[in-house]
Amino acid sequence: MTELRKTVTKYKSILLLVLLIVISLFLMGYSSGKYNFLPKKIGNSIFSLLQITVDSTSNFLTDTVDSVGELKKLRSEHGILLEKILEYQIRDRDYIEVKQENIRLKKQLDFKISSEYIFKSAEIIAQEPGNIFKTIVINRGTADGIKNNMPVIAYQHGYQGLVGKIIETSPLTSKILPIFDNTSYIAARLLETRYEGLINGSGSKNDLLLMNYVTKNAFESLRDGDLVVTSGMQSIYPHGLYIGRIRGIYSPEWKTSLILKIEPVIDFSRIEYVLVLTGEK
Amino acid sequence: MIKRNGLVTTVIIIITVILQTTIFNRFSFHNVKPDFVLIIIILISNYSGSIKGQLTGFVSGLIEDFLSLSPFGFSALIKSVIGYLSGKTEGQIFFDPIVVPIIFVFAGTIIKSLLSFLLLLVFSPAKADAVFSITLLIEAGMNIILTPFIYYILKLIKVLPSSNSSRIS
Repeated sequence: MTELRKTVTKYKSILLLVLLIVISLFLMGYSSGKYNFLPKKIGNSIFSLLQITVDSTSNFLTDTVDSVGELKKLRSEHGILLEKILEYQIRDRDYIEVKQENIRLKKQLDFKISSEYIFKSAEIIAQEPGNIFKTIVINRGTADGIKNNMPVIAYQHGYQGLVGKIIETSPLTSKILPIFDNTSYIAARLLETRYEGLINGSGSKNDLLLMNYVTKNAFESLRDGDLVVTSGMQSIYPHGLYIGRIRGIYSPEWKTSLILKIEPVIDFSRIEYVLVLTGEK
Repeated sequence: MIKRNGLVTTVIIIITVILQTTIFNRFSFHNVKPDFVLIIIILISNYSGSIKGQLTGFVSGLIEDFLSLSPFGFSALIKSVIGYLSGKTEGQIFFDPIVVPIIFVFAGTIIKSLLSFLLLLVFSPAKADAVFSITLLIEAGMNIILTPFIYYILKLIKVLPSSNSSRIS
């Protein structure tokens, strides 16, 4: 017994390491592939509170510093904007008329009127601690009705672009799997030529997405800059959401389909707010 | 001799992980972030020994795992091993403010990547290719640039001894 104690004392450091490795491997094996592993969910809920606090404090301080300089700018912009409001009020009247006419014409042509989505706006508050996995954390969770697999979009440069989908939720925060993650797959369609394919992330914000399984017959009709949208073939993403634009067309001899390089509509390094599509009206 | 207990270290680690996922994201270069937690574990472990080192690593790794998409236990395992290895040098290698910490942190970053690669091959093969890329070089570069500053901050808040030669028993 004393011998055993001596041995344990002598090798306690390495024994502890082995124990910690075994615990870690057990946890990894048990939780692998499960986004809603309970202990992780509880820990995430607790630490996400701290993330919200830190992000809010940081934003408050940044806004306070910025606001002094911005006051001057706002005064001059105020006058310009008042004039623009008048202009837009006139345009709005025209828009309503055009919209009503559009609905009427669509009915005549027997087109299905595209449904509008119910969404929750959210702010990005945190990202992954490391560089291998890619998630975006937003300040909306199950308390706001957010559930796993809900699509997430954002508005940039006049386009509503696809950001990703919700993969993990806690009461106050949710994690988004962005479309550039290399475990993200999206059924896509070329907006003009209607060819279908599957978009896969490349793993980095800076790299282009890859669109596979586009038939080689499409080669001649594709152009650089063509828009790619969700096809709606997956139940997760509704059809017609902008994903990106073609930035490269490749037809390798060893493949039966084309490989397209797609530049996302959304610039992920500048994204601050997103919209979670929670349902359809 | 410095008074330091597990609670202070844990608080520092929690604050660092939270800052790493929020404010420090703004300091990324080519969308690559430095690993502040890794640097702190290495510096603390070297003064605290392998037992405290690996426990610090394990706790900080678990907190990272709570907030990450990685399999639960992924960072805990990696940071435990790094804490252990760094702690093994306790009393054997004396830290100067710049060169030795930089060498340790560079080695730690490489070991972290190696372990990440091996674990990802088993648990998330699609991610394994991403480990040994330009990201690793940028991260290692950022880590070694930040190391002397973090070293001084830890000394300033008396987490590390103020004298270069002093050690924690």
